[in-house]
Amino acid sequence: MPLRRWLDRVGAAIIAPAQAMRVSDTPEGQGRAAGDIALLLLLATIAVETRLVLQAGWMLRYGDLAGSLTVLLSGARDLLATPVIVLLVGSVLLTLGAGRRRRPADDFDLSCVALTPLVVLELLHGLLVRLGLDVHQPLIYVGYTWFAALLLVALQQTRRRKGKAS
Amino acid sequence: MSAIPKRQRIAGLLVVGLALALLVINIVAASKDWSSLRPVHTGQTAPDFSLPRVASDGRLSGDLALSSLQGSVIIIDFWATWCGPCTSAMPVLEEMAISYGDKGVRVLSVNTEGFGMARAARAMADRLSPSALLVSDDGSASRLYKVSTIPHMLVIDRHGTVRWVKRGFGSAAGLRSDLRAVIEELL
Repeated sequence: MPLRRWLDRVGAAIIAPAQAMRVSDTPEGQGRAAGDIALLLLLATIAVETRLVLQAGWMLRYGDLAGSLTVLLSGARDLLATPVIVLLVGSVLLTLGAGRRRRPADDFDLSCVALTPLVVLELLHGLLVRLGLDVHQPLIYVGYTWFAALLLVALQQTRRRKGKAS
Repeated sequence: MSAIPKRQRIAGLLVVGLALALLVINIVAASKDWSSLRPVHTGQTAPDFSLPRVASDGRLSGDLALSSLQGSVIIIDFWATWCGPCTSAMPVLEEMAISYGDKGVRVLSVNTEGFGMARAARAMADRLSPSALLVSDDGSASRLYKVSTIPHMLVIDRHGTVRWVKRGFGSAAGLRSDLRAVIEELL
């Protein structure tokens, strides 16, 4: 089932990232990581910005499609802007670091795998805030350190590629 | 399923569980105050707000409370100087103010760009809708009325009940027709 495989890939990105990146960097795994992170980001947006989603739903109920989209986009922008920028920066760094073995589309996939724990930490942060715990700063440090470490793992993966750049 | 994939599956399920837990907590929190999420709609008592008036020289003067206009039929217009459809709607509202002003219809023009744009708002209002009562919104009224798209217009009856809501602008003819219909019904 696609959902089970998605769960396996997301889980692998967290507990076995090197393996997840090896799989992502194969012809069979191409493009999957981008779809996986998109679905995870959607889930995170709905879970973290539930109030805005509900408000958008009400607006749609009253026929205000434009207003509904505006509310949804504002919530999505607040949550997603940083992860998307981080994803793109990571992808560019991987492509630059891969040198002659660069494959920009696959490098982007690797960056998607590396981003997964950061998105999970956003969810965790949302939950802890709801429980009254202010742990924003520590989680930020953990998240970006984790991402940087995974970029190094991804860079190693690019070095294992055979052949020249596509 | 081998041990490694099983652990991966469990990790994936924990992530989804985390998201669902947060979703449930947020829904429960929101359910304690559904009304605050719902847009201002017809049949509801119009939420009161108080905003500074914009005088003829563009300066801010004393506050005008919506409740002080009770007893009149009020057309509220949330707008901004950069909004093309807003500037198309304002002459129609001016027509309503002129046609029905002697019958107790007032136009409350709420500029949503903050106090710093009061002078520019005054200049535009003088040109397009000089009969309207112009106030400057620092965001408080827009948030109260869940204004997300502009122009955002409402008609409030003499008892303070919202009787008509319009988000966006279609055509001057359509707006004119809609407003006349609802105002005639309230007079």
